[in-house]
Amino acid sequence: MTRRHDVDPARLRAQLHRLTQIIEPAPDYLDRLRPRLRPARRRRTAGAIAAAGLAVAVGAGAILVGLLVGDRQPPGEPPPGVPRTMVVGAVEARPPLDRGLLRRDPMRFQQLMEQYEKRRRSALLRLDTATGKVRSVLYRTQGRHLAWALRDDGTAAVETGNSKCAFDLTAVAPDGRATPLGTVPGFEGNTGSSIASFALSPDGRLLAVTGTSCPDPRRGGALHWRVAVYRIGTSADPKPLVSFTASDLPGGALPNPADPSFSADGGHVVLPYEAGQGGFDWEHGVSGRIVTGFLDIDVAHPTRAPLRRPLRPSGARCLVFHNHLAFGRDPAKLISVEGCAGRQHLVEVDRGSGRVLPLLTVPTQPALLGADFDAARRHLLLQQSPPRQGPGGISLAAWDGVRSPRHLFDLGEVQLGRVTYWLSDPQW
Amino acid sequence: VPRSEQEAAFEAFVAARYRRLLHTAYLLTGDQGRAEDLLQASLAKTWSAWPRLHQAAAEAYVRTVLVRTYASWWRRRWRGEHPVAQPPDRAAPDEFARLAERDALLRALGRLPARMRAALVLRYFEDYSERQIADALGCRVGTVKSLCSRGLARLRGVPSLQPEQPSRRSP
Repeated sequence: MTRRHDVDPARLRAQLHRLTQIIEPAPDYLDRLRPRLRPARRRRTAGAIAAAGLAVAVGAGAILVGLLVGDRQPPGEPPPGVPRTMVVGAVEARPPLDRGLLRRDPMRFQQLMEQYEKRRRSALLRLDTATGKVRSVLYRTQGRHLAWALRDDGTAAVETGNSKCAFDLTAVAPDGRATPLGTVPGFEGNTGSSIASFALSPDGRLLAVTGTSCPDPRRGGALHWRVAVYRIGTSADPKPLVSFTASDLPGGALPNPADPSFSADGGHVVLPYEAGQGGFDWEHGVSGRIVTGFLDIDVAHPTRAPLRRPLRPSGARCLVFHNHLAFGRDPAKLISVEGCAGRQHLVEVDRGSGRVLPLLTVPTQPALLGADFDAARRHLLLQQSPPRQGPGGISLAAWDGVRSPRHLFDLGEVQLGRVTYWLSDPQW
Repeated sequence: VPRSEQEAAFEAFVAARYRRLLHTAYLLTGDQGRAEDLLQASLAKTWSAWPRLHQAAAEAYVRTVLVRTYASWWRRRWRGEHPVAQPPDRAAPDEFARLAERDALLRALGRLPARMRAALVLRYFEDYSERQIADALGCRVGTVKSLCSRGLARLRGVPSLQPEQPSRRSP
């Protein structure tokens, strides 16, 4: 047998067992299973009645039951089609202080780059993280929206929307040298504020994009959220490695996917999503049926059914904020920010199990808008709401995982020549 | 038997067998999220038949449901849903080489037809006999033999499955 197939059955047996060693059941598998058991029995009973010739009555009854069940669904329950939540660590517990997540080296932040925008002028700046002073102007554009992402070596990719339902991609070296990378099609570009959001893999070879798809006349011109991952060589490969819209996902039109993030090893793209109807305020937390979580795309095995991990039980009334996710060196762990009634948390999410552990719990002001590691992935930088009202601005703090976050600087506007630029989202 | 007792017995069965069944589902689907979905759907179907099942036969019953549900889902929805024009490891062979090597078997399994894959998983992971596989897949023993034989042949490109070459001795 072995000689015929050149496959050793004993090796195959051993490899199959090895493949499954890391697979553990989701912690809430029983909670997810129980609701599926009741309808199964109900259908069986209904089938027996139908066999007795009462099909019409059963049909009407089923509709009625469906309506009643739908009406009685508690407001905190996820809507149909949304996966149920994972087990979560106790948020009230004291945040673990030293979990090996962060290193306590002296802070030597290398770069913080900002985009400013006013009168359709945009500039990509490099700021000193400690002081907020402008170190250099890397890129300028006028009449086009601009978005950008960083590679680990400090090279930025800049996207500027064009009017042909595409965006132009440019690599900008740390010294400001710009190299065109071609055009990425299929996304609404420079039309209003819907410019696509994107991320680069740490090695810069992959580009993940979320944004609004181009209007499709065959579908009545409807726009859809689209997610795609492209290869980048000397130019962007126009053929995506992964491409799907929200409606491709099982469970129906599910999420509004937000900013993508690559894991540190480049193997996964993770996007926060939000599904359901409802609102959020700091006093009451989530109202309605909002469920937030993550889409997890394995770029080595892309599929249109990426794993969805709801982040919080709906009863906790917490919301994942869509700003930056932070990946540390461990690709299995990511850092996210969530808001709950009266408090907000910096949490660590285990991508495999879906477990959520609180790292830092702080009052609602200033609001944590996002978090990311510094370029060396040693310290967390926290973006907070600016202390004063205005068209833009950030407040930046650093957290070493042990002490209270240390405030670094507030910045609202930058004057470059005669042009005043206001701030938009930072990355570093 | 009161329903509450049935539920308790079923949950105990699930708690005891879930991990192992999940592993089978994972080898069938190659994706943990899908594996969870497949197993949960299969357990829900099993629950419908639970009052008629002998507990000793329950696990085999779930496996049968699992592979048949997998085969039907694969026919209906999963086939062709991988929107990858080219193998993704071409994008960045340096970075993904390690990952590609580790997952070479999973990818090779993923290229097999559903019944062939299920036959191999049952044969070499579950150690089912050909007769048991035939019962689970609802086919003849001869078909199982053919599926396993052709399945092994199609896995021969996986380096880690190659038999060790006997060292050549000088005369």
